[in-house]
Amino acid sequence: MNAVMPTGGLSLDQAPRLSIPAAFFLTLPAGILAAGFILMFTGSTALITPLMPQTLALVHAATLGVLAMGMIGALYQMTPVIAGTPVPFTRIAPLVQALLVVGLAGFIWRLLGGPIWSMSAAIFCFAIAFLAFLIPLGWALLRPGTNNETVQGMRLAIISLMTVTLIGLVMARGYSGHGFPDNRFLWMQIHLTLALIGWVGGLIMSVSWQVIPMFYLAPVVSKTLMRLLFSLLLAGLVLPFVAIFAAQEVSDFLTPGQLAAIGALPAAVVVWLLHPLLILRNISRRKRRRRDTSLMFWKAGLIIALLLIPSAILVFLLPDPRWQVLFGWLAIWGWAGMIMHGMLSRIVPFLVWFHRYSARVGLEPVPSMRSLLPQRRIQIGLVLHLSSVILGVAAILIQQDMLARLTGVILAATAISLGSMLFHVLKRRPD
Amino acid sequence: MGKSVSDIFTVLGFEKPDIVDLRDLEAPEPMEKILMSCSELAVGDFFLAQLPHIPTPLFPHLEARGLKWWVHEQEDQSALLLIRREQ
Repeated sequence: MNAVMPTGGLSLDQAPRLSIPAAFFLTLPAGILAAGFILMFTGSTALITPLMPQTLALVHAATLGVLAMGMIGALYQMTPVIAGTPVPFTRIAPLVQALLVVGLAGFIWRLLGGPIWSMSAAIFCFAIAFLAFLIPLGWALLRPGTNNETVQGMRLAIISLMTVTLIGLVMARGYSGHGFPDNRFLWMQIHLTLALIGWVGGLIMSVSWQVIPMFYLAPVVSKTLMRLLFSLLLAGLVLPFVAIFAAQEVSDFLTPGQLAAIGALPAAVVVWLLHPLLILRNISRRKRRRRDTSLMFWKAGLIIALLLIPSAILVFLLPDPRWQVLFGWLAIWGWAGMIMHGMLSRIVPFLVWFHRYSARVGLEPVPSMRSLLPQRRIQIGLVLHLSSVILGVAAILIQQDMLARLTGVILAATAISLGSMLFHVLKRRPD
Repeated sequence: MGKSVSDIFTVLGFEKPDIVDLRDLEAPEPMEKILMSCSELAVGDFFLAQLPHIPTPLFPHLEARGLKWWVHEQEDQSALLLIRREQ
């Protein structure tokens, strides 16, 4: 947009009500609490191998109950602002949220020994929830007012989520009395790659282009670099499929899973090496070095991201399934979880200030955004979250039951801290 | 900045308002400063600011206050924002 834009653009009614993202964000602590309880009650059983039902329950409490809730809430909020197009039918957002919560409860229940019908119900709830979310959001992202690099990344994340959901639903049928698909492990690998790299990585990367300069005054990443990283990410998400279908003609020595992993390498390098290095460098060059605990979350998450490729190499080379669990723990709760927690501590006060106070600026005294959430509350969350990541790593490596249960306790404490922080900010209203 | 401000915003005519540089402020401080300054604008007056990026969330507030605005994105993705109180 290099020309002068005339008056016009977003109207107040295009931005969603604060209650929509806030409701999703408030569900996050419940997801963390669920993960904490699973660890408290199953102990190290959930940390031995990724194929244990307890591990799958733990992983999905974190990915669906925490990451997806935060990302869906954020997408409802960000899409009209960044893409310049309102998301239609946002009135069904509470239904999406309720179906996700009920679906996740049924999913976890079945994996922890519940009846078969609870998984069937979970599949039904997830299918309706994701359709009700993806269709309106996809509609808005396909016809954006602004087609910048962030919008392209959001689109890629949404397409990844669509594929992840489809594969996930087919695999979940294995727990509802139907068989698992052929090549279950290969499909699981694709599910995991698309979820972590395409959906989570794609969204973290594209959103960082906007929020890191906006909230922390770090240098803006050049469009050329954004496009290069996006192309590599896209290539790394498409190549695994090519590798699988061409597997027999390409190699007699590598399994389709190994070929798919090699195909995903460009994308993995983007989200777990180039993007973290680039953002860490930009953060170190920011214009105003104000102490900000939410930035510490970003730094911790990005540093943990740098451990993921070495960790994936260990998974590739060593047969011990603990390395796979360690990789998942670091990726979900270390990298994505830390960044999500940090973003909430920055974005929720911003949204509250924007929705409830900004219209009064210049007309009456209003509190500053920073005064809405004391840094002390964010610091407590940081210490708890980081402690749980470290304790979890120790529990996975040592396979000590008490450590695993203690990790669950710290996760629960993190959930309480985050919940209390969110309530503290969201209850603030003008006098 | 290649072009002059009056080349970018022809609506300025011969007026040359000072550019208030808000690029070194983190969100939402630029919005706060702009809304504070605009509350003091007299009818027909301009307010010109340079921001770190296009301030999309600000626009509905400007419109709600009856202010007319024009924005220009620069090569470095910073933005020039011109605001006028018309009534």
